[in-house]
Amino acid sequence: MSQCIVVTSGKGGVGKTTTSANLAVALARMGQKVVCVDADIGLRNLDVVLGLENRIVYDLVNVIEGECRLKQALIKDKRLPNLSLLPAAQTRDKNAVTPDDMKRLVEDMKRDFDWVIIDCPAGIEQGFKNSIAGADRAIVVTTPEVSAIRDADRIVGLIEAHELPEPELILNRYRPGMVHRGDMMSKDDILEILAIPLIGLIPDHEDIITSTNRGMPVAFDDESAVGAAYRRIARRLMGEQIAVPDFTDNASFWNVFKRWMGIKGAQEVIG
Amino acid sequence: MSSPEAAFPRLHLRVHYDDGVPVLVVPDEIALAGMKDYVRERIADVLPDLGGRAARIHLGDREIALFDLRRLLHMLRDEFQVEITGLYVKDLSVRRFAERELKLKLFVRVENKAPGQEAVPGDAEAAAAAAMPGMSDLLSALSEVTDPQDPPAPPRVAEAVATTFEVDPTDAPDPAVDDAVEVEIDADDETTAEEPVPEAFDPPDARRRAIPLPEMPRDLDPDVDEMGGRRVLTLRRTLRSGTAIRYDGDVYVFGDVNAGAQVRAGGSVIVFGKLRGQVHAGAQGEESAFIMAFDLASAQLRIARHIAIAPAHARDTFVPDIATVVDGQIIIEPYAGRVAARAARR
Repeated sequence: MSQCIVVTSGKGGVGKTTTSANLAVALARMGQKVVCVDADIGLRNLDVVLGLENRIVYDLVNVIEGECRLKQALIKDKRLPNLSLLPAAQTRDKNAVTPDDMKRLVEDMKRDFDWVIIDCPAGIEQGFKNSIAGADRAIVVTTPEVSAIRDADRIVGLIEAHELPEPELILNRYRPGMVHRGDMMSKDDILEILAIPLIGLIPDHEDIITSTNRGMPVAFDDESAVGAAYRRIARRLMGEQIAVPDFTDNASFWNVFKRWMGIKGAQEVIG
Repeated sequence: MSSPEAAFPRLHLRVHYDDGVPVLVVPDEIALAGMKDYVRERIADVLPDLGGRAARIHLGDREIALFDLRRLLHMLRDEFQVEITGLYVKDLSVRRFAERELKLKLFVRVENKAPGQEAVPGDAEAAAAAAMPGMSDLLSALSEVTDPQDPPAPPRVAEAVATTFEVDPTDAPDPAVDDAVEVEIDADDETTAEEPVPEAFDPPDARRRAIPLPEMPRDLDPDVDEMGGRRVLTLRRTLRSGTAIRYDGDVYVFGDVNAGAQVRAGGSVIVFGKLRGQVHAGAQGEESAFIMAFDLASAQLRIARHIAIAPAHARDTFVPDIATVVDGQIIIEPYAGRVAARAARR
């Protein structure tokens, strides 16, 4: 039974595209057939993050307007034959697509793939409405900032109003050290406000920036803790029960000792 | 009520121009109930002047319900392709709603105002007093007022000066700049703070009339009950950011009210959960309204015409908090059963 997941957040810049790319890679690495859809028409990015930018011939709008077949527009990732991308059009805008178009498109893709992952644009307008139209399940990405949480709360309300099941939360750019010092909202504070299940906690790490720039999602990297966090989320999506680690390593004796000694630049340990 | 047309058979709609924009003037004498029918019948007289373009509407001194105004505007738009973008009206309650709900630009008249001169706060009260004269005053003012500073000008310029209208400040009051804990909601308005809430807005009968709830999400499915003679809206869910509830009675929320959610109630608001959003109790002027919550964590509270900024530090109490108006100030304190009695006494 294939599923369509929309990755959304309301606020921009919290990591929707990165999350979409990494979840797609992590699921594909588990042997699942995955297609990643960039619904951010006019501001496409997912192709860059996945490193497939130079292979785009047709895009989502071409498919919807009947200029090509769906198969022609899908780009197969050479590193992972299970993974395909349906890129967004860069020269059009959100109004080129309607929610009904998206529903039909998603239904088509669900025949060939186990997972359809839709990267939703920021905002709550047409792009958002298109993105959630065909989705069976929603993932809300937020960062531990008041503004991102406020927008996430709004999005959760809108998702509920669209009669999708209760969305699940990915908390991105989490910095245990700052939380420990009381400078950042903690996981529990955020869950108290949003009151939806947490499906993943992604620590803030430089790996994300380098991997994004290289077009090589961090979920490919077996060494990276962030990649491991994404792979855990993929397994949770598959139905496995894995506890979300607290990433509280920063409070370890060694770090406390270093802070106590006043050693600057004590690197936050990422679990 | 008798047909307004029969009562005032010789009245006509008129159009005058302000800044090149046609203004549809509905005479004061036309009764509210029949206004829509009246306009429908008589608009043919003035339609060539409106020319199917954007126009403003002048409702004179009358008090008009938001509902009627909304219907009138829709009729003008749908049947006659006249898009109303601005409103000249006196009734304060309607002005507020018109601005927020119907997105109309509001105009009040400022008399003898030299071009380019900004309205200063001191002038605002005088302006309010002079605001929106009856239509006959307005029309006579058009021909009388000239600017002494100007050299003799062609009549067109004189008319332009005379018809200068001041756009209502549309921004919400910014109490944050004020150190005082309590400010008047109407502080930025042309009215003085002491001006009573317009009568038409407050009689018991008016509260009986349900305010339309345009922004209520479909799935809210509220329970509306009569409890102790008061109308109560019960919501069994958390109100998330972006949810707006408007109701003309009491509102009970079984859940949190998150930041970015709005509750505007004619009566009191009780939140069985954490209150972080914006709540306005007694929105129609009921000073005895109160706000109660298990955890009162809003940045701002409004009761009737008062606004309070909550203290920055949250108190951790194991009893609910209640906010009431005492001597013209919003007071927040732990609820101990007695405050409701005081609220009732007032």
